[in-house]
Amino acid sequence: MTLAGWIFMLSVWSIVTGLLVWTYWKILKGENSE
Amino acid sequence: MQNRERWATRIGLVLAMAGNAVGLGNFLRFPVQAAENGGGAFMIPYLISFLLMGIPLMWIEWALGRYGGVRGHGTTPAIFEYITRKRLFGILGVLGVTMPFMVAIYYTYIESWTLGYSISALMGMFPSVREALAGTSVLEPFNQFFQNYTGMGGSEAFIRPSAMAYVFFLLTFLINVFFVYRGIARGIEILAKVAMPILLALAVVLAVRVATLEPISGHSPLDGFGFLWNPDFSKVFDAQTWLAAAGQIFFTLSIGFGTLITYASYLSEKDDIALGGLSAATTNEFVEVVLGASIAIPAAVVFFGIENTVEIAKAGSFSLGFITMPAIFSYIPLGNLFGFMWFFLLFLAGITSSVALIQPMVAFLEDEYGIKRQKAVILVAAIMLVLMHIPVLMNGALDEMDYWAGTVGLVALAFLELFVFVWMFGVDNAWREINRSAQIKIPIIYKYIMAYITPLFIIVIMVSFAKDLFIKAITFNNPGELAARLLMIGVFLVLAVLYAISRSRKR
Repeated sequence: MTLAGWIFMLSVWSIVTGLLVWTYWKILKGENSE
Repeated sequence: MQNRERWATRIGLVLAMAGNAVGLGNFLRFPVQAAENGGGAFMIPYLISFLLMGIPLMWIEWALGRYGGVRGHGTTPAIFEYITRKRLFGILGVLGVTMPFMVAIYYTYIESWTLGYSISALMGMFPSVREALAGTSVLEPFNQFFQNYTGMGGSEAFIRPSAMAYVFFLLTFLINVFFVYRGIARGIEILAKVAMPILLALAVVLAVRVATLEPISGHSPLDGFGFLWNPDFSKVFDAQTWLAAAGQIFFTLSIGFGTLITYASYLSEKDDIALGGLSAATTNEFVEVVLGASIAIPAAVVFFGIENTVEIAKAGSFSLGFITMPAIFSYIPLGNLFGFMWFFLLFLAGITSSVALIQPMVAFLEDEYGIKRQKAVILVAAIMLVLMHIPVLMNGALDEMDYWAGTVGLVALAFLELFVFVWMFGVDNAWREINRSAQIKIPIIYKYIMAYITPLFIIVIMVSFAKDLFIKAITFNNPGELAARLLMIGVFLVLAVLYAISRSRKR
């Protein structure tokens, strides 16, 4: 696997995972405050 | 107007929406598309399509659904007519009930293969592999197993699936009907809450197993990841790569099926859709990009090498999932268990989508004819059971339905949704509706993306279909294709008449 491949894979995984965690955190925070 | 059902929890709603989107394509179609279209470079148009087309259409469908549901309608015919005040759009909206129903008819059958294969794996029914998996010739017994199981692969007009395939087809159908019959909160939501965490856990276990495989054909799992992720930048400027990426975003998010609209119709006006839509879309992307890309293709590279994997990918998703993967599982220790996990994972991905595909037809009968849910489900199930025998028994019918309903139709419906909601309802009204009760602030730029960029994406995809579509429309190769077309046209016409009658009765 090339360096560019690593960069692409880890960047995309980070973006998607970060967005996933953030959206679920917001939802759970909203549910708890209701 | 009868009281409409509601989702019990927000997490349940998001998981059901994500389950609707997560399907076999996340594990089989995406890695094949990425590998064939530039690897890591494919992710550039893929992510751009996600941001400029996928997310906006997701919000539009959620907003259309909530808007209609508050007014007692959960499907596109009545929602489109309510917004435009034009019967023509109501009739065109019948596509939003016809297409998910048609896709449910063949998709549930494919889903039944995954259940049948998961039991086959557990019982050790796959051919065994004694020699090293040096070349793809070892796949031949597995290809034969697939052909014997489904009865497909010949050129006769009628196909004869195995008794096992037929039993699992009936079983899968009944499981689907059971969950839809129990309703939104007690059936579909509970299914999603149980199935999605199990699906994620199975995918993680399989991805870890693949990542720790010993090199067999001189290739390590890292070579497999490299095959998928090493960028070929020459492909970034290739129109075909962009079309493949935009097409994948369509399929993977279940946009244009009408299912998201129906699910969102069980929301109240006080429920957020901005965060919910983003969350469901992101869950789907996580399953696709992080987990889906880490199982089948890397495993194929380890066992068969890069050149053979290119050939496997070209043979399509079924070949990868139902022929190559069983061969790999037959070779590794505890292969029966891992094979079961792989196919059961696909089954869970399938069933959370197929219940969503059945629901619009049920909602149509409930909302437009006031038929009670249980009666509507029994009626829909009875019709479905009869019609499902066309793709089960007729050669070419499944592919034909997949092309018209599952490919061309969904792009057309997505364009129609955007046209009605953003252009006819008005950009300002649409924007206000999407942001009503929103838990996050959507950047204002999305208002303009929805109005100008997203439609451009869809138009380009539609134009790219034009040539194939014309050739397909004027030719057919076997009676199965003709039967599939007549079925689709027939269902559309019957629903259009039913819709027109329901409107005249309400007047």
